[in-house]
Amino acid sequence: HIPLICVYLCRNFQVKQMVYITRIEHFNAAHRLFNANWSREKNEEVFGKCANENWHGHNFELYVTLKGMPDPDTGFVYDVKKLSLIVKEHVIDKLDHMNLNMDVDFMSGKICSIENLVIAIWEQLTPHLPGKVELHCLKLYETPRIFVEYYG
Amino acid sequence: MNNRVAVYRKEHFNAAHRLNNPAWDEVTNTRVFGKCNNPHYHGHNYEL
Repeated sequence: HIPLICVYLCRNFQVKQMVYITRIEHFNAAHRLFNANWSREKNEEVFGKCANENWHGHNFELYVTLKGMPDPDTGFVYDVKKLSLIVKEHVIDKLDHMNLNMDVDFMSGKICSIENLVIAIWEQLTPHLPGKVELHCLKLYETPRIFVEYYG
Repeated sequence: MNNRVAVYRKEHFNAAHRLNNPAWDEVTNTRVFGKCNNPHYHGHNYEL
């Protein structure tokens, strides 16, 4: 039973060392919600003011959460300054002060809800994270009262 | 004692806009307003 106890203790020690670190980025963008297959009336009925043909906009906040154990030499799960540079290059710079429906290649053909946007951001970001880094969650605030979470 | 009180009410709205001076050329507008000049607009959550 001793090997089983060792495995149990080691596993629990590792779990207790698991840390979640979050970096917050922000961008300001215009968008509108509409389904190109529907009539104007149906879009207004379903999406209301969010279907405004002249757009509306938000200050978005993106919470990028990594999961891991602190490195014994640095104390970092991952250097969040480096994380910020990666997120800015591959996500924020493509979204900030943009029109999400018209200017963002990775949202082309998609309904511009924050549900679809957070999934698209995850797909944009993960190929550029180092192999040792585990992306745990993206949380995207559209307004202070509306946000989405995505765990991949 | 001064009984003057300031009372506040906060409202919010979400809107798109663009910063642009139609009297200027495109180069000047981009130089002055930067990303805020995007002809496809950008947006904000405003608090009033």
